[in-house]
Formats: sequence, structure tokens, C-alpha cells
Amino acid sequence: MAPVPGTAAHDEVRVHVAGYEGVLSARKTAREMAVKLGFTLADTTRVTTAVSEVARNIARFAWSGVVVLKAEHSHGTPALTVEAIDSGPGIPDLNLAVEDGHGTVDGLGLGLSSARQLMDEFSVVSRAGEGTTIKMRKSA
Amino acid sequence: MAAFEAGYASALESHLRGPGEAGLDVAQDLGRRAVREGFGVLEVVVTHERVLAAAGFPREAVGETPGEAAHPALDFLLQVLVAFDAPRSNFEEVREQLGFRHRQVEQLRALTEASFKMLSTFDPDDRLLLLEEAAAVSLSGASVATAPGDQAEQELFAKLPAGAREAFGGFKAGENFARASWVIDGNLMHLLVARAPTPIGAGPVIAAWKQGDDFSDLDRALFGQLSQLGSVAVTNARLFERERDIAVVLQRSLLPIAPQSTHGLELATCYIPAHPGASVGGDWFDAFELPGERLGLVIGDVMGHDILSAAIMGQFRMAVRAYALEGHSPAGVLDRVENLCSVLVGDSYATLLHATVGAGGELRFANAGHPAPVVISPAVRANFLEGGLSVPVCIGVPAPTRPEHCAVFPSGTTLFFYTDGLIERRGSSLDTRLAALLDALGEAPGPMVGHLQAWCNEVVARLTGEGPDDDVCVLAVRLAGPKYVRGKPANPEVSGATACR
Repeated sequence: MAPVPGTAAHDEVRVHVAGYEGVLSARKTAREMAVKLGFTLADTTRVTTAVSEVARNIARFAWSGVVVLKAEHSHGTPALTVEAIDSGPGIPDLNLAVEDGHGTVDGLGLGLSSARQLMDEFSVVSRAGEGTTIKMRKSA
Repeated sequence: MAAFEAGYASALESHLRGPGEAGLDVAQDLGRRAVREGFGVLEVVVTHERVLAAAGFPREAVGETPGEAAHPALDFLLQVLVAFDAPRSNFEEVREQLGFRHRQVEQLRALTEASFKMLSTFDPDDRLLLLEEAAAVSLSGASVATAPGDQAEQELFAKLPAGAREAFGGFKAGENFARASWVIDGNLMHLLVARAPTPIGAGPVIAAWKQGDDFSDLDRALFGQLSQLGSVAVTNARLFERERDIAVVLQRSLLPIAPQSTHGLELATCYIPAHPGASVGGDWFDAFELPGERLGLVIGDVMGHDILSAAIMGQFRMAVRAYALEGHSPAGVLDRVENLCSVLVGDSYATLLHATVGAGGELRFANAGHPAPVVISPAVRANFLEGGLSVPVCIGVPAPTRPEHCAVFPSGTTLFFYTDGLIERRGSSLDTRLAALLDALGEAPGPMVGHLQAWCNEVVARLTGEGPDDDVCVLAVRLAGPKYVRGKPANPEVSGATACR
């Protein structure tokens, strides 16, 4: 379904992430929404990768959490916003986690730094013992 | 590469048999592995094509139709290649960061240079100007103003741009730093102000302002450093100025004010201390009025030419003057000075000539080891006055009664007293220098009436050339004009010698 320019339509999907299956679900949802929003094949791959990284972050560090994906059409520009929320241990050193080459476990995935670089907007709020919230956004 | 290709083939085949996120997730990891192992995009694409060609998959899986339509093999390839995408955008970020760091290093370098530059001057005002320059450079071209002293804040207000005064409003009690932002003519302006108190009173106030983006954290930190640097620089310069002023006043108090011509006697003096930075040395002259229309003249030289010699010289000068004013003869004065040696000079000594000159051309002097004065007259040009000589004062040898020399000279005669700095030169014998002195002094036309000082300066300049090795002190006196000569003209002989009475 093609977006209607100039209208604000919201399409929100919440993906529960608990373990590797959740990562795959988040990927799938992200890809479907990106395609639906009219993202190019390259951008669809970027968005899917970034979502897989934040979901993997939940699966690895917090065990369970939720990834909320929202399709938006703001003034005719489609965009996908992603919010990854968990109540895990938090990220002790945020700078380190989002620097290139860090934020991975067992050498899997590209880490949070790649998520940051693949999206237009990226922010992390994390408190020790209280969990982590990552917000990302990419326009088509 | 073979292991990577094998892994790639296995993952891709698996994905094409049953496309899904699980296969793509493996592809994502393959991409990361390719980056880690140093393969390029080209190697990955070649590997992809080779695996596809070898496997013989159905058309719909490998997407033979050109275009961007998604198909499982392309999805897989893109998912691998995304690993190359992330580092590329990171590279741009790193380059931006490097540029930023480079600018920061430049700012810090400017601060360092500023501190060195400020040490090149001792003038507090000059130091503040250099501080302004440094601040402008290290704050990336912001405008900067400083103001020194107690009224610094008011002075600074006058230099700030429109609107700054209202936005700033003055320092809060107990605070030495303030920042303000305001809009004027549609432009956003930012201001930093700091005052830098010193241990010796109010210090300078410094302000920096700019249009557009606000000052960065580093700018503010540098600004704080600059204001502290300004405080230290100005404090030190003020302390130095204070000490130097004290030294100059004390040193000047040791020398007499150049005496005026008196009793028809025209006087000229010249004083050049050899010690750099000092305005006096161990040489001195003195001239003072004595009863009976006479003038007391003194020239002396304390051993050494440092500031300690100058201090001893000051004591000698007052001792000679005091005894002369008590009415003692020149030899009597020297004898009394000799008695003061233990309290005057420690282990130093001095050469010293004391003369009295009468309004009628009568000269009387005693010379304690000092270079012989020169008499200059139209009749005989220049000649040394050798008489009245005894040992220097305070050399620790009990002096016999010191002799005196008396003479009467005609009007127009000039007596020239000097210290050895005028005639001593390295690499030149004393005889040569003495001959040079007589040549210089005897050269026609000699000192003209009313121009003794100019003549004296010229003689000294000629003899000392580029600068003396030792202190130089000169005292010249031109004897009375005709109206002061009483009775018949004196014997125009060279020495003018006569019995002392």
C-alpha cells in the first residue's frame, strides 16, 4: 500500500524479543515495514541490519525486551522509527558500546556502532541496573 | 579465502533453499567476517557469483531479471555487504573528528605560544595586548578586549559590542566568570567575561565575544586559562616595575644632580655606568659650593663596578662632602675619609681626587691614587696635572700626610677630571690611551664658552667608542671669565703651580 503524501499515518508493531527467535522476528518485521514504506532495497537492508543489532543486544544482555517499530509519513516523507526497550543490567560504558568494534558478544553481529551508523538518528539511554532504551530513526 | 568461500557457499545455498531471516542473519555475520579478514567488496561479489554459478539454482531464486526487485540471492548479498557500509560512514565521522581535534590542538598551541610571547616584555600594558592577540587566535577568531586596573570593569564596558553590557550586567558577588548571550539586529551573540584578581590588587578583566555558534567547552576552558595567565603575567610585570622603580630611585639618590655653573665657573659632567641594567656604578663625581666663592670638586672610583660598589660610592661621596663643608683642606678631607675606612667600605678601596677651585682661578687638590687631571688652555692645549699624589684611600696602608698641589690658572682654562674607564681599553696600552686622551682634549678649538657640556660629550664619545668596558665618569670645569679674575692675570705657565697657603 503506497503512503499518502501529506498525511500522518501511524502503523506500529511491537515485537517481543526473548532469545534468538525474537531477533529473527524483529528482522522480519523491520524488513516488511521498510518495504511497505517504500525504502530502497539497500536502505531496507540497512534498517533490517540495525534492528537486528538492537534486538540482538536485548537478547544477549537483557534476555527479554521489546522492539517497537513505527511507520510514519511526515509531510510525505516515509520514515521508520525504532525503539528497543529492555529492563536488563544496562550498558556500563555507553561511549565504548557505540564505538566501532565494540558492543558485540562472541564476535556475533556488527554491534551497536553499526546500528548507529546505518540509521539517520540514534540515541541510547541506559542506567545501570535499570535497563536500556535505544531510539533510532531512518527516512526513506 | 577458500574457507570463507566454503562458508559463503554453504550459507547461501541454505538460504536459497529456504529463504528467511535466519539465513540473512548468517549473511550479516559473513559480512562482518569478510571485513575482519580483510576481504574487499570485490572479493565478496566474485565469491557470490562463483557460488551461484556452481550451484545451479532456479531462476526465481537468483534473479536473472535486472533491476531492484528483491530476490533471495540479492537479499543475501546485500546483507553481507552491509558490513562494508557501516565502516564507510564511520570513516567520515572519524575524519570529522580528526579535523575537530586538529583545531583543538591549534587552539592549545596558540595558548602556549601566548605564554611564551608574554614573557618577552616586562610592561604590564604590553602583556595585556599580547594576551588579547593570543585570546583572539586561540578562541578561533573571536573578538577580544582587556582592561587593566581598578576600574577595569568600567573600562571594559566601553569596548564591548552593542547589547553586551545589558546582557552581561556585571559580575555577581564573589564570582570572577560570567557568560551571556543576546540577539541584536537578528544576530545571536555570545560573550565570555573573566576578571583575574592578583595577589597585589585588582587584576585585568578580559572579554571575548562572537556571533553565531556559542563558545565550545574547550573555548571556555581556554578562556579561563587565558585569564589566569593574564593575572600571573600582569602581577609579575607590576612587581618587576615596582622593584625596578625602587632600584632606580635608590641609585639616583647616590649621585648628585648635575651641578649648575656657579661663581662664573662653567661645569659639565658625564656619567656612563658599565653594569647593564644599573644606572650607577662605583665611579662618582661631586661639586658643591664652599665658603669664599670656592667650589668643591670631587671625582672618585670605588673598586669594582657592580651595585655593591655603587652603594659604597654613595657613602664615600657623603663623607667627602661633609668633611669639605667643615672647612678642611683637600688633604685633610682625604685623611679623615681614611679614618672612616673600616665603617665605609669593608674590604674595598677607592681612588679619589678632591679639589677646590676659587673664582680667581686658584686650584688646590689632593689626589689619592686617581688618574691625573688634565688642564686645557689656549696657550698650552692639554697637559696632565701630576702633583698632589698619594696612595688610594682604604688600601689598608697607614698613609703618611697626603700632599696637595696648588696652582692658579688664567681665565678660560678648563680642568678635566675623569675616571679610568675613559682611558682603559682592552688591547691598548695605557700610554697609548693617555696620549689619545691628551690628543682628544687638546684639539682646537677646545671648549667654547657656554658649550662645555657639548664639548665634554663629544670627547667622551670619541674616547669610549661603542661603549666603555668600565664605568666612565667625567667632571670638567672652565675657570672664571675676566670679571672674576682679581689682580693681575696669573702666570700662564702650563702647571700654574704655586705654593699652597
